[in-house]
Amino acid sequence: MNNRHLPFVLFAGGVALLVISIFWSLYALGEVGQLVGPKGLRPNNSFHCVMGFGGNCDLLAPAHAEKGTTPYSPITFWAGIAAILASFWLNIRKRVPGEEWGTRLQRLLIPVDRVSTFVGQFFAWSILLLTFAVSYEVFSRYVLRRPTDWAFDASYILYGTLFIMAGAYALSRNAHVRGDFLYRAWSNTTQAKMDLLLYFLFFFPGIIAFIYAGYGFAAQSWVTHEHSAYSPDGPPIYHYKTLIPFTGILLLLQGIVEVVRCLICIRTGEWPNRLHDVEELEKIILEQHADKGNPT
Amino acid sequence: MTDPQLGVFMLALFVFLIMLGYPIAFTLMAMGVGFAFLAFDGNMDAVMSLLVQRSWSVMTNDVLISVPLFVFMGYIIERANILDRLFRSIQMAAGGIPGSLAVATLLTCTLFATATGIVGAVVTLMGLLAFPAMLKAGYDTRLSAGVVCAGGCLGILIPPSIMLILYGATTGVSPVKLYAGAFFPGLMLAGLYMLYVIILCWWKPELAPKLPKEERNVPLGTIIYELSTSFLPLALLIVSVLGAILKGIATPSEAAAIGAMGALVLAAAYRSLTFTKLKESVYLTARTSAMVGWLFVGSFTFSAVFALLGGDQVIKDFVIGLDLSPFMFLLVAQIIIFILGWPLEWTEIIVIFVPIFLPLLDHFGIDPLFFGLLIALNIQTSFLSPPVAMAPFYLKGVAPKHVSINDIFAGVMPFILIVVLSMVLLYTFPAIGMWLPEKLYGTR
Repeated sequence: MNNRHLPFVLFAGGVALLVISIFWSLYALGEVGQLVGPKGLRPNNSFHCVMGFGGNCDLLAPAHAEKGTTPYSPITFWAGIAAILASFWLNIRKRVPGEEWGTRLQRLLIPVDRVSTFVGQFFAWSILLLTFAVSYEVFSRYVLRRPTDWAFDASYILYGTLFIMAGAYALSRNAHVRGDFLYRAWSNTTQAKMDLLLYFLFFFPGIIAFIYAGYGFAAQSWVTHEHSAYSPDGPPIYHYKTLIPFTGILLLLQGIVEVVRCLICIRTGEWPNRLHDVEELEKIILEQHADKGNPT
Repeated sequence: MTDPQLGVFMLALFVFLIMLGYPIAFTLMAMGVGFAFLAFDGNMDAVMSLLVQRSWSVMTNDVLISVPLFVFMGYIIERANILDRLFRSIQMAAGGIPGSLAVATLLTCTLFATATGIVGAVVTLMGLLAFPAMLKAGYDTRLSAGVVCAGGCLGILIPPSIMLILYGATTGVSPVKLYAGAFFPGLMLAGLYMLYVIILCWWKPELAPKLPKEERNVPLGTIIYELSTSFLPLALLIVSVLGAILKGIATPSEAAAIGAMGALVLAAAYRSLTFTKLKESVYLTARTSAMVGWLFVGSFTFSAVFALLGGDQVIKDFVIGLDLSPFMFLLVAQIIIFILGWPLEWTEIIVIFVPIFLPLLDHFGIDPLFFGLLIALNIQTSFLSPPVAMAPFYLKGVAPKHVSINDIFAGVMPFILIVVLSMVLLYTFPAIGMWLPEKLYGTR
């Protein structure tokens, strides 16, 4: 394997392991939830069992033995964390002669941006499915005179997947709306200092609560094998609810590199570049125009 | 501090914090969590459950489903290379009326902005297309600038518009009724803009010199052909989407899906549906939807905690204590929204500030639907008025060097006055907005 790609592969693998550990632990909890619930391991405070410590988590192994199911192994979670840290460390450690401090740190950003972008863009295609599914429902109702029983469930699941999974992607592109009428007038360094403070004051507490709460919420759903209540024979929705802690983890990682961005900016006075991506038409036009207007 | 006082403090703190420029969705979410912690006396389980329940209610919100679909439809149409043909054909059809280029610009903007709902793109594209054409024909700079800016913003008012969906999702008013209600006020505003331009150009012909004769006398056949290949398909798409919603054939999200489908077909017919363009539209849709969706996650959490603390009750008691007449209340509310429109964008106003007024409407006997229509008109000004006016700055970005931002602001000013006039008209004759929803769906 090419050494240059190793940090990215490690990071992507680490994120995949974290996601697997979330799905796997929820699946395992779903198998035995009815058994351990009365003994004191409630789904909505079972998040620490993903990491594998805490008294009540000990209830899981005997319950799995009793039911004959495979227990979840917290090694997955820690392997994921280790891979992510290793990727960061590899990226930081590498020294290129003559390289500035900022560019060295900037290497940290790239794997995270790429993973957030990949996930966001992958799930973005659900807009096409959503268009087709809902159009088919209308077609089916009026032309075939046979309304489908799955279209409503499909539509909110596709819509929710689309926006919730693009959260980290939007953050990596600075696309979340800001009340920026003062912010815009500040110098880059002031912007970065303020952002840095607020990432710690607002973002991390909020997102950590979101992951923790989302995990418990999904766990509840896995234990009861919840199905959609909107239609008879509704599809299962515990996978959909699991997207909440999934996207939470991506946002948390993206938040960490946004903090690095702030640090680079405070040090160098310039916001580091973001990955190249599609832009709004007006932005492209305005940029082209600015280039033409002021040849510098 | 008692709980209600805490609630008011929470709101005041938020108004301060919003100015720090941090992404609002996360500010709201964190403040919601923090104050919920105080409201529940440190019961973390209750805080967590509130946060996740509110997020879940955004994820299963059947009104918001139409947002990504309309956004997607907009991006597809925006990239379908339809605008210059549309402008050219309408300009031919406008022929010899006073200020024909300006009227054609307004009409093009209205139709295109209605189909796409994306303000920035319409203003920049028309700024490259129609603005130089008007200047070349010797039109007054200010008039030309005002027409492009004002026309480009109409799309968020005339249904099917995303703003009304967001208002519906925030307030619980049916988006279908909002669409029915906004239909005539939207047309009225567009009509007033055109009327103003025609009268002004007839009165002062030097502002808008007539086009040379050979450009005016286009054979009727050509006009009809051009119109039917550019104006007609787009108008048909809008009318069918809107018609399906108003006639109750389809829900707004279903109609939005049909609209997106129609946009794909239209783009294919114009031979501009490449994979690259499709990909770009898909990715941009994801980003815009994420922005809107997460803003709702934050604001649903925030407003639940605000209501839990009883902050809305304090504000209600305070406003009721002022002993305003319904008219005064409406006036003050609209002025506040007008002023909020200077620094803030419309998404923030609709999603965050409208819910504060909502509990008061009942006391004053104001229909939330009617209130929404006034706000929809009012928000037009937030795009146009300095200092943070999106449309004039976008136009400035693409305009020739000699056009100053002050010229653009001066040109936009009469149009802001027309917006205010149309609000007065709507208030005086509520039937402009309320007749259609009542006719179609009976009284509330």
